[in-house]
Amino acid sequence: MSKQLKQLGDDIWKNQVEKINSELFTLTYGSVVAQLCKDLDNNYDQVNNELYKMGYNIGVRLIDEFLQKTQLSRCTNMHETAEVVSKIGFKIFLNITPTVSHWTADNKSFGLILVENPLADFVELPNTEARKKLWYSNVLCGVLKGCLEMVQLDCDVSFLQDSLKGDENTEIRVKLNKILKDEIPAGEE
Amino acid sequence: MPIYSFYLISKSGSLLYQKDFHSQNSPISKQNSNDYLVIASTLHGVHAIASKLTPEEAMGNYEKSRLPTNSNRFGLQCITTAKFKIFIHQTTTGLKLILFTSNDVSLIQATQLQGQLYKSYADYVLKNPFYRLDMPIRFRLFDDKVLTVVTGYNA
Repeated sequence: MSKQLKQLGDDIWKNQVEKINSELFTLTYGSVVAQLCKDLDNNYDQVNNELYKMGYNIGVRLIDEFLQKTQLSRCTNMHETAEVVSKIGFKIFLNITPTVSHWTADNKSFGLILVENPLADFVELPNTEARKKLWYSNVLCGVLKGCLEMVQLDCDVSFLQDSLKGDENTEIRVKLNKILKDEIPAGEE
Repeated sequence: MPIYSFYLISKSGSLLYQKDFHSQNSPISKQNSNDYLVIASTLHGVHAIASKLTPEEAMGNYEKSRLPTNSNRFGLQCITTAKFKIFIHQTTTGLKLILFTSNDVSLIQATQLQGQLYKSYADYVLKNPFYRLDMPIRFRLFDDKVLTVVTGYNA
């Protein structure tokens, strides 16, 4: 299963995705974050929120492209969801494959460890409050939240650690609150 | 194998997009805009009712004929009338793509076409920054793409 997913992710990345220059992408995102910090007077909590909201709005739209390109149907459990998010989701949109780890005992919460993060290439956070408070790539959490919500998985998504802040890894935590059963479209179950 | 009409219905059942295509002897006559809304919400409702009515024994058949992309497993999939067919495709997000076609169009062909239309929706509606989710779609570019897909098929 896991191998098939990897293969599928690779195929879609090779054949179906329009690519842009990654440096342009990194710099554009960097300017967005910098501008937000400026506009919000370096209130980093607000910047985090704003990035999250932007991501959310991207996510609720992006999911349809994801479904269309992958031709996948609903996952049967969270383990499958985690594999799909990492091996296909991140692969086809960012060309990275985060490692899934740190499952909790109830199988509802997992971590995604980003070994590389295209958003944060060349980035160094100034040694001020920013280093403590800013989650530079918080847009990713928003995207995940939006995508999962559109397929009726109500999740909390947040950064746990970020190597930009001097942490050991960059880790996103995904926690399933509940499956929105009432909102699953008619005719499915 | 002409395509007569195309409907997009949101997961809550509101009509997002409707288009009739010109075709010789199309049995679909022009309606006023209110009637299109009625047709859309009727199909949405009937589909939901049908999904509750599928008998246990028939579930297996559905499972077999199911295409992986179509989350419409137990709901209304196809209506065949003397003059035209209606195909209903539902994505995992709950969006319904409905095609009115001539009788010689098969489920596989319809699904293929719905796949292409879904792609146009993902690329030209969802990526349009001026589009707000669940609002009616009124974009030239999307109109053109839909027309290209359908005429490409009709030809």
